[in-house]
Amino acid sequence: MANVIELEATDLASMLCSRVCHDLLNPVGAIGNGLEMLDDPSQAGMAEASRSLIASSAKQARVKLEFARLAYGASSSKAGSQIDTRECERVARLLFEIEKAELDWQVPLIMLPKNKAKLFMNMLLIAATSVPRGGKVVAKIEGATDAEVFTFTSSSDAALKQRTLMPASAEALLSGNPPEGVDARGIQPFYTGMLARMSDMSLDISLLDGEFRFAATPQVAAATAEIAPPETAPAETTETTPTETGSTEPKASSEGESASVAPEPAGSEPFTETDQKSA
Amino acid sequence: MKSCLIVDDSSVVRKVARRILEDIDYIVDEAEDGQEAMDKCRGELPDAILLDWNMPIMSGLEFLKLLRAYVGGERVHVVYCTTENDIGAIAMALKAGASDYMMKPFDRQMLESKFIDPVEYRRAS
Repeated sequence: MANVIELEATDLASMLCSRVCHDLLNPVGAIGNGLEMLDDPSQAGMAEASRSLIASSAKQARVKLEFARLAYGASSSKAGSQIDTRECERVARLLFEIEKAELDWQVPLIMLPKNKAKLFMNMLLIAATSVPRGGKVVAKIEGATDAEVFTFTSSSDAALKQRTLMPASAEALLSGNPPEGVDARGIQPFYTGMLARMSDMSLDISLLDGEFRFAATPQVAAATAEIAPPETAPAETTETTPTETGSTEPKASSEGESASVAPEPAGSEPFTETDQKSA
Repeated sequence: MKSCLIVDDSSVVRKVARRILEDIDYIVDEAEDGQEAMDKCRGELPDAILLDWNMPIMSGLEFLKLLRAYVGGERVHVVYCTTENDIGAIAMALKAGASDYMMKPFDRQMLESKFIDPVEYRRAS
């Protein structure tokens, strides 16, 4: 079993900033290209197309900013504060206006602790990444207050040349112990794993029979489920490693992958926040 | 006329690059990931490719390795397009077979300078 990588605060900040910059570069660059075309007399016939490009790029930039503010930021809210799922829904629906997949939102109107709301939004982004050519993503929250279970499922239609896949290195990054380390490209799933550990939730990610499933379960519930079968070893809570899921199905092929990511104790997390635990 | 395949998962980047490349007389085709690009290359190899690096399904690196191993694929002028100014990542792309690289965001002048004549480029190299 390997330990979770502990990033320096400055490294985490720079990687998340890189990620946001990367997400914004394309649409902001395209706005510049559109303005360049508008200023070019030889492109006069393209004025309408240029305005359309600027409008669609500005929308993309705005959506990515709004998403980043909630999923990576939300820093202006006070420690211990909560976020309304209506705000999550508003931002999620904006995101899916620029994603190819459709969103099926099955989330009750509740308040979530800030880190849980951020976790939920980051999981949503990973679920969207699992169907890059389009498909359907179902986002659900179930369970009692302070013991919510987050579930995302996504699927696609092969007849439409769509694909459902496991986002690259997602399992290792979520576990906090990717063999190649973490850089700006992998920081979003790595940060998702951090948020889960800070919220005392276990992550389970799988791709089986063309369906991608990604769930976050309260640590206590997950531990109970793992302890239940007498032949199953107790959950290890001091180390994190990607393992086979609770299912007894072996990882048979590249089309079927699954991993459970057990949480690290919140106290070992270098970026502990005061509102990380449910009241 | 020369042909160019734009490989990028961002529709706005494809749209912008298409417009600029068509203005310098390229016949342009698009692919939104490495796999779709490879499928198109198996049908007909373009003269040039503008290649994004981070894409779902098949990354720019995987695509480039397949392309260079494909018959005739070694002759295609491939410009690696990145948002990262990490010299290590750029070196990796060039080592993997990229002909040139370009940073995002790019403007018309920058893109034109990379694609103005890949035929000449191939002769020279």
